[in-house]
Amino acid sequence: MSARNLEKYKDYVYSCLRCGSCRDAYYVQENTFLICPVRELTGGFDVYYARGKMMLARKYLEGAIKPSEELMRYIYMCTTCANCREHCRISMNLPGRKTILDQIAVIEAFRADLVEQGFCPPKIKAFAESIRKNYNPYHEKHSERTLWMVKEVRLPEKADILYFVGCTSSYRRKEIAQNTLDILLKVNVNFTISPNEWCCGSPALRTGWVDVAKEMARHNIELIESIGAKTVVTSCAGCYRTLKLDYPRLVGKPGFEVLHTTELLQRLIGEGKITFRDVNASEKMIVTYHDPCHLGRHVGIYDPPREVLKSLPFVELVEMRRTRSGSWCCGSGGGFKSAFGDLAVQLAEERLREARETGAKALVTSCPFCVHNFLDAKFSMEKRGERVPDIYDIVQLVSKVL
Amino acid sequence: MPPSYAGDELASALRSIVGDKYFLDEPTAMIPYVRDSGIFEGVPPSFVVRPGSVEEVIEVIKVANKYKVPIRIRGGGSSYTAAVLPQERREILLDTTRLNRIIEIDEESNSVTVEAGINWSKLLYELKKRGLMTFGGPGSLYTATVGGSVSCASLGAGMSKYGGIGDWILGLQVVLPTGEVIRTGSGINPFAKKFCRYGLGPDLTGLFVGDHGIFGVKTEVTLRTYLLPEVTGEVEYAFQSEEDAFNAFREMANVNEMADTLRLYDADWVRGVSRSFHYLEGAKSLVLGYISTYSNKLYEAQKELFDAIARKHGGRETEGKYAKYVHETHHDSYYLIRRTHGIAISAYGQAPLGRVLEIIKSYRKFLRDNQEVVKNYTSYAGIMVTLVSKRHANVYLAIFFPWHLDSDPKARQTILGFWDRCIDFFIEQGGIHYWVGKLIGDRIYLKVPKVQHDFLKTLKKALDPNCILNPGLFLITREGP
Repeated sequence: MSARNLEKYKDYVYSCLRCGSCRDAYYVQENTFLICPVRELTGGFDVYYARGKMMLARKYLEGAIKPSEELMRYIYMCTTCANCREHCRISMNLPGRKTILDQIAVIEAFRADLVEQGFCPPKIKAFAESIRKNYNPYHEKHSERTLWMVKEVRLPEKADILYFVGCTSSYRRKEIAQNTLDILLKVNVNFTISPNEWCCGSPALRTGWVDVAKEMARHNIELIESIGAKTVVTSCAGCYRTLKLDYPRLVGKPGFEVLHTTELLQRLIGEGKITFRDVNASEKMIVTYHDPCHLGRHVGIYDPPREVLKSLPFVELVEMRRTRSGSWCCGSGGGFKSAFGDLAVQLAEERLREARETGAKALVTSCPFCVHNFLDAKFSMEKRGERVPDIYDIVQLVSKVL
Repeated sequence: MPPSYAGDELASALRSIVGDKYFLDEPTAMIPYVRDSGIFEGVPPSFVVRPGSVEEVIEVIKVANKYKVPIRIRGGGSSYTAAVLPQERREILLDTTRLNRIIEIDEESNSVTVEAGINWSKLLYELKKRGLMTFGGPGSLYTATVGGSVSCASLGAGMSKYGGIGDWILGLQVVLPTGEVIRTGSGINPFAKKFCRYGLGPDLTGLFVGDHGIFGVKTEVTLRTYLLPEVTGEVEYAFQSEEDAFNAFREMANVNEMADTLRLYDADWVRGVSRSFHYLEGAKSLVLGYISTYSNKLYEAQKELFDAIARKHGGRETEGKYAKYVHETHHDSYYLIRRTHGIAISAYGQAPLGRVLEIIKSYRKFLRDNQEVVKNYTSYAGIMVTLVSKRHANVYLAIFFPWHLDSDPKARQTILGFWDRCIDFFIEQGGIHYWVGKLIGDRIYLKVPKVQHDFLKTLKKALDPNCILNPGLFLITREGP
């Protein structure tokens, strides 16, 4: 039995106080109500939230439990949304403080050990194999990665900015890629897109397939360097977190800046390089913003998307009850949607109901993965006759008024 | 119905009571229940159930009696004295956290009635929205349940003025170990509101405060409420000697009307704190208070009294930054100190006000006598003394077992032995623990007169003939002590 990945995080595992603040610390801040989406969705037993998982990790390290189908199920039952880490009263990972407990790092390492011993949910294993073979987790052909580009666009081979499209925008939520492209063309920046882009590796890394993620990282860094890009822009929260936080630790610090589209848009709006057309009263819209976990809690990007939304002439932004660091996960991250699809949709449904309570006409987010799961939830809710807000990625709204 | 891992009638019966979703018997999923927030390790339960109503609790208890299988009751599970850890292989762990509703905020009776599994932070938030307060919760208020606090006889925020949880309870609803449901306090009278505790014969509530669940499963708790104070503030005085500080603290205690918290810190503690709060460098002891009341005049009157007493004993009023920090982070103090030092070793409890200084000195001697263990296996912060109920003190020896040692079985064994000696020492000093669990409860009942233990056993036998609820606590086992 190997615990070589988990061993690296032994100190984290042993620093868990088992106080339960990852379970139901209410109102630690005004925006916090309940902590673990998986706990709330299931019977709520300890194994479903971080306290129990940390105890399993500890017993695994001590050799008291062996890899098994049951253990695998509990360790993969997590969206890695990081709400537990955010509200852990022991980790209290505040700026300037040493991290003493990172539940997400522990869970990812635990998954890596399980994968190395042949334990992985079949659907996750399949998408990891697809990443290695097709460079995307969707079993799509790599040669079709840029088929979303319906317009005839000539882009340079080398450019200052690379738009890193990501797999979900390339194959599933093409409208996000298309709108991002439209915006970049209209604001006249020196950018390009590469058909040789591979999956960023995030789905593999979050689910224990570290070698696959490393392979993707090495290729993408070489690609970016060959393009000469100083800045990589991505519209996907998962790609963003991986390029920005994981690539440096996996393959060394790359020599380029990573921006999320919302950061680039905020910068361009601030510099006066983006101006919006006038709108009429009928176009006015109340929207609410959903913080993607990988953009918000994982990297701390909360203000840029809000600033962009507030600058749009037809938008009135209202907040949901759980917002920013207390935001409720949509359910699609960490391999959860692949392994536990129905539960993932149930989580998104809960979030859409919360959005509906605000009176917003639309829920806006900044991640194709979130959009994808919200649209699945919207479909099932509308089938049951529930009224559901419209779902947009932020670039779709920006594109409307350019 | 999914197959049961235990594959027996008991499993089927439990599953049919709480439903598939809230029943668990998969062996790997039992592992997390072997530990609370402390060092001691129990055994995995065979089943975990999360009942969602009193009726389900009753049925679980009846089934447990039928099959003579013990129930281990757990609220938030954030205590660290092993009361919530299964002791036998075949136990049912009853998790109360689904019983988490506020039943009634009764402004006519100045009370709030809640289901016992409610989390303190949720309750306090909902009361605050209405301009009300109740017991400020134990240190672990983000995670602890109200029922758990009653079972542990918690002290907590506001204890200098109002006392511990026991002083706030107006009545309980309890499912007895045989499945009957009773009320205590004025709720006994079906025509009365739940507004007072005494007046219907013996104080039955008291039977269940600090019982650690051996006499019943608490399902409802009624607590006093007060208006939230409108004027609040901190006072802080530094002293050049512990004696001076202690004399001032004792006098302040005697005139305390409005300080929720009145506290004394010893020289070790102040030395540690002064690394971050430099203005405290050189001070040998510190007294701080958190005053809360309803008018500026009342506030000023209390502060004037404290100021004069501090001056009389050579204290100087400081800029008060540490007091402010303590107040602002008091909801996090339980967690912050553990973050810094490690796993708590519960070496503290209540003592008469007049004996505090003597106990502090004895504690230091005890630490010197055990210096090998203290040096190699603990992280020590100092001693903090908090006034309780305006009349006695809680002496807190802040000593911890560092995280990194918890993976070393020898270190764990050593520290458990040291903890036992700490507990014995405090008992022999005439100190009274309040939150005892298994680890402290066992030590206490090895030392008290036999007649006391016999009386407890008689009560337990009468209420719980099959010894179903939380066996093993207070040295009451299913086979007898």
